[in-house]
Amino acid sequence: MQRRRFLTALGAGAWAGAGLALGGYGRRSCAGEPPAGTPDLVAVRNGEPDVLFDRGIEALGGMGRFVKKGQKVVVKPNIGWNVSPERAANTHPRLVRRIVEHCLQAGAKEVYVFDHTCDAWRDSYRTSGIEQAVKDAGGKLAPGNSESYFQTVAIPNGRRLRRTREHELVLEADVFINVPVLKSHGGARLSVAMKNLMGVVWDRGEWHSNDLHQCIADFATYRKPDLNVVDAWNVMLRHGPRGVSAADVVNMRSQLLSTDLVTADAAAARLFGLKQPEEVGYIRIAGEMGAGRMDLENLAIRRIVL
Amino acid sequence: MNQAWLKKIRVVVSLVFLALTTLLFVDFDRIGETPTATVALYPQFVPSLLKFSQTFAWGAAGFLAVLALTLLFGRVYCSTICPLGTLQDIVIRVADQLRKPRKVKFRYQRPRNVLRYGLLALAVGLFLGGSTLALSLLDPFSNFGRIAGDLLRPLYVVVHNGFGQLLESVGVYGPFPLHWKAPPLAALIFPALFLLGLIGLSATRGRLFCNTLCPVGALLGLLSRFALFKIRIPQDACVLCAQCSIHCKAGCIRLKTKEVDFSRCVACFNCMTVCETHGIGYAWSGPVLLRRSTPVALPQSQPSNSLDVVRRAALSREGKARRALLRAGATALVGLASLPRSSSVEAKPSNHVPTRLVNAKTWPVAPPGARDIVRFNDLCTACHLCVSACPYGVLQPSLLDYGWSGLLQPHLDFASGYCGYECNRCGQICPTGAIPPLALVAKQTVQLGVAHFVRDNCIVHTDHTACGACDEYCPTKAVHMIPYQDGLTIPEVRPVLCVGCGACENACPARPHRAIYVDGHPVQRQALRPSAKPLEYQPDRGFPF
Ligand code: SF4
Ligand code: SF4
Ligand code: SF4
Repeated sequence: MQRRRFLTALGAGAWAGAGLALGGYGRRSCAGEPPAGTPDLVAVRNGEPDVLFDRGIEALGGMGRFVKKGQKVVVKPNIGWNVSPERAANTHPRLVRRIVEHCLQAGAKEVYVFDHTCDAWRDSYRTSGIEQAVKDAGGKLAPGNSESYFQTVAIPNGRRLRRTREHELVLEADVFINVPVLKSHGGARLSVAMKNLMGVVWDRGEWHSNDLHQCIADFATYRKPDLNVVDAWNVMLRHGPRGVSAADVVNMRSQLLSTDLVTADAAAARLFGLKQPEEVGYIRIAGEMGAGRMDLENLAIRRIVL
Repeated sequence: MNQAWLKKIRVVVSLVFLALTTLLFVDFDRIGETPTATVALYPQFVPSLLKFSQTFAWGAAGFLAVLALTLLFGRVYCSTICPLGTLQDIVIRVADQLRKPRKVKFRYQRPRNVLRYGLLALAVGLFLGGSTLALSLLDPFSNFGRIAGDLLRPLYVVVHNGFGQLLESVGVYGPFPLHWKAPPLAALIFPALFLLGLIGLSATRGRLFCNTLCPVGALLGLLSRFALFKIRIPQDACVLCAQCSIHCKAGCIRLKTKEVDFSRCVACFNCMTVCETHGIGYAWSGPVLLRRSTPVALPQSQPSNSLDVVRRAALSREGKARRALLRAGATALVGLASLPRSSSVEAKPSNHVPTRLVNAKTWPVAPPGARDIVRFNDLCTACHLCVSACPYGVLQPSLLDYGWSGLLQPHLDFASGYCGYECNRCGQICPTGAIPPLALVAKQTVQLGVAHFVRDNCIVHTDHTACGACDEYCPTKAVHMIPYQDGLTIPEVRPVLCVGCGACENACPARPHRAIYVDGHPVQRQALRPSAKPLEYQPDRGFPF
């Protein structure tokens, strides 16, 4: 916020260059080197959303590996739509609640939760159940639908997306936790971890008109969350990302955790029922660009069935 | 008898009503869906009368209470409930402070009966003939709404959000920012001019608006001639100090004859607080007074009793002939007004190949549940409460989208937003019933218009890259993606499922002309509810990787 005030004070136009230069420091990762034997991917099945997370994060070394005392954490669930939890268009509120609780237990100074929603944001926060969940857990909700919160950042490795506007909270956070819900998507085929990051940028309409798959992959080369937790408890198999009714949803009772968002997306694509993750354009491109690994057969996977 | 205490009560009540109505328009989220909002809206005269004329329900009978109050004590409404009245009072007070001391504030003004009753007749006549144009341009509530909602709200939002940013700079997120979508600038001209005129008029001539232009003032004025209690100057107690007349905002106290023209008295009670002998005040003016009522000829066309207005409105509403005529008229007007609108053409294309095909919109899109455009134009007074309330920012004041009869009435502007599938707020709040309240399930199958896909504008077709923003937003999957070329998918519209919410049009990134747009229906239709066939799913115990 300091930085933004500085920018506003000096006039955004003249200082856009400074903003770009400073944009880079949002990318520092705070998780230390993983202890030997830590899996690349944890897949948990057959439990309630919060229980799945308890087991999953334990297998990944515990929340203490990601969150240190006094740090500022940002949790980014999918809160895109003004629909209730059983529609599975948004991340399950019980998962969000549990993650916030874990962060606070690990000593986080503050835990912010936000999304740049598609539907009206106050309604979406409320109807999704996430507003209540965050309040109950002791986290803080932040708004994501006001242009003033977004800073221009450069995407050095982007092919189509060279710069975009990113939410200041993500730029300033010590720890960034990405909590997508797995669901079908009419335009992009599948919405998981990489697609969820469209909710931390302002100008996503431009992504649609500028080769959507490439833009999603470009952004994945720039913004790597410290942890990705894929909510596959309820999964919308058709009519995504918004869904038409609860009949579009099946109860998979699963969850995937990984520090690599491409790995998370690749595993999620399989879980969703796709033969090859490469069938999803942006997963294939992100893999090729080296944003992460999608060769599941060569990765250390910890599978837990409860 | 000292009745000066009445003024204290009057001031408190008026400020409460002013504060509530203002808050309702500038920050709807705060009190909009609470009983407080109902309290503030229930007695607003014109909205309540219009709503009652359709529903005949007690829930809309606030205006009857106002009529009863008027028959007892005169135009109490004008200085307590009417927010525009209180707004003028504030201007008058400020102007007073600025005036040189001792300068005479007000003096007796002659009545301008031709003007005030003429305008009342015009408003009633046009309304019965199927146009709310005069009513909406003159109605005090609607004018106040446009001042608060269109002019004050943006300022409020700026201050509110500025305060929010201040807090945020010390790490506190909240109060959460409010959103305001700019209406067409030309739509602000009317409220701005009206406000300037009102300020000028009230600063120099007191409540002259209320006794010349305001149809509610004229109607209640007619009625207050028969009030059971009236403010009078007792001939014996009066020492002709002239204080009452000097302080009378309505200029209705004539000292020469020691008479109060009660039809113009706005019941502000200023006179009672300044009268040296505390002589002036309410006195019984029952039947005796009927004989010596001020000799003003009532225009022939005036209904003597406002229930009459209601019944006539209802009867005339049924008239089929009138309907047909109106429809023809409206068609002509709307056709005339379907000049290119700002929403269909936008600058700054971000797609690579600028689109070429103009969206062929023929009808504006009326709010959900308005049933048909003619009916809507007949009942809406353009108070813009729904514009303030709409959480999706899609409702915007129109210019000539509906033609002259619908000037400033709200329409759905899909460049500004879209209609939320889970939202039915405008119908719940609309104080005139122009947008009837609909249960959410019912509202979800009202078809406001239908989406049209323009393949030659679509990014999938022009740029050969994936998009699907329209499908992403469509709540019913009326627009869905079908195979195109090279693994790409392209939209297809199933009109029977489309509710015309405009989410697709709003999301479509193609510029300057969008690749999918909604054309409104002159008469709203029914959409099919999307069917929900259950999915086949066998839960797996393991993992497919
Ligand atoms: S129902 Fe639609 S038009 Fe009415 S307030 Fe809600 S979003 Fe706005
Ligand atoms: S096709 Fe467009 S207008 Fe029709 S329901 Fe879907 S999003 Fe709304
Ligand atoms: S949003 Fe517009 S450009 Fe994108 S697929 Fe739909 S119609 Fe085509």
